[in-house]
Amino acid sequence: MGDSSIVSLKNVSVGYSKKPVLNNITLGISQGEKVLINGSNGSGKSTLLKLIGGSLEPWSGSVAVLNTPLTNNRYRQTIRRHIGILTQIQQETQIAVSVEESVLLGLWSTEFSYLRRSKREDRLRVKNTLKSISMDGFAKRDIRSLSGGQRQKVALGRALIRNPKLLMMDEPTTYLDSYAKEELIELIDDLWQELNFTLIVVSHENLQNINFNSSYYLEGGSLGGSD
Amino acid sequence: MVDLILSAFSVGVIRNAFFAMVIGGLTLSLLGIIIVSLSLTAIRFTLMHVGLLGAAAGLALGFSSTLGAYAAVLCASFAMGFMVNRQSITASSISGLFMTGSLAGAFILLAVTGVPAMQVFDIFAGNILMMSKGDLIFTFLVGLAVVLTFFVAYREIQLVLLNRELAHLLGVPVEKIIGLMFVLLGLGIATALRLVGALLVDAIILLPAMAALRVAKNFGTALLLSCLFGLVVAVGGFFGALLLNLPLGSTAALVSALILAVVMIINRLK
Repeated sequence: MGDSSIVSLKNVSVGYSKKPVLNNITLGISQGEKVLINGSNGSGKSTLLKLIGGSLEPWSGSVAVLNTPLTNNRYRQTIRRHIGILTQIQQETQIAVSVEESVLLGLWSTEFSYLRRSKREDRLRVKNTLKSISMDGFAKRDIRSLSGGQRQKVALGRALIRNPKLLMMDEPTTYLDSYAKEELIELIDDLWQELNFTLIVVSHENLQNINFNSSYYLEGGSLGGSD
Repeated sequence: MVDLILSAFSVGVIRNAFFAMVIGGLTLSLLGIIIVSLSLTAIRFTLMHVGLLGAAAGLALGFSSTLGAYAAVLCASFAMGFMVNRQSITASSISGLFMTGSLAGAFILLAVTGVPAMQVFDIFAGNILMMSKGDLIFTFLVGLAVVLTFFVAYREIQLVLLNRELAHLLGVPVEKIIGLMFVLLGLGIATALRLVGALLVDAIILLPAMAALRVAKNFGTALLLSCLFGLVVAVGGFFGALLLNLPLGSTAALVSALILAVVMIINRLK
């Protein structure tokens, strides 16, 4: 784990309500890598992402992201600005949100502020992002009217609008049909090559179509490598 | 007709009632967006029952039923918000626990203390004509709190409603926002209890929001339409009741149901 590590976990243990989920995990991910972390449901994959994203503090060990040790809230806030997150698809969305608004929400906690920044600039960023995910023309559409695959592409746009150095995906292809899955994977791969972000995907699926640099397996709170 | 309206508005309590309905209609329907988006329909029903218990306690113990309703609903919304945030118990279990307990408590209190039937009826149907200037100011403050919250935390609320998990990962104070939503919901329901009664709270809070969410294609429009439909319910209900000599709460509820029905039919025909 050298200086090029964008994510560095050393002997990290964490859990919820005194129940351990991850035990003594050590992991190093370099700039520009594509990493898959496999594991069954409840194995601690999402917990690992929460640790890296700074929304969970380790019980022991150390976490550093983008060469910043996540030892206090200020550091955690700082690194969050450089992380994009794609979560599992939302099955039943009741709220009326346009594609444009949904992507714009990805700017939350960055320099963006609804009252301070010009709306025109925001719209331009959204426009460019939608273009990059081949969703231009959908800006005014209600996300409730989109297919699962389209909604997940919008979620990808929401993660990318932050220009993240690190993109984390939590079960990105779950509930998608095989065509939408393939299309999303292809898009992620293209964008990774174009934008040079570091990619961490956690999934219970194998995602063989993505050519990962490293893959790991989480089981019983321990991380096994399979480079 | 104009004479009837003018003579009605020359009476202070009628004016208070009108302004209270307008304020309630314009602002409280925003809370319906939260109820629908976070699937809190069971919880809002529970809060209505808790409000009944508070009002019954007020009547039985000889203090204000409004104050009783506000106190009970606020306490319950704090407790339920805390439990939902901690995920120590599911929303439906919380509802079952509070709703049955509250209703049982309210009926027992009213039966044991022998509260007159008309006063009990007021809790169920509302008694907006008893609204004082102080009540009107309080209604305004509750409405203002709701609108200000949506204005200041517009993006945060949107994120929490859209994807709670993502909001948490991005660093949005999700628990605080949900807690605040529960408190506002409690205040809003207690206010609506006074306006249209326990049985018809949905008319002013939930139905306008449901109609708005069926028409709107983005969040801003959903909020604006919700306020607009709420206003139509309030004004339509008020003048309908005045001109046709009908109970206000029921007339407003009818207008509300009509708006939702029309929106559903138009959506179906599209």
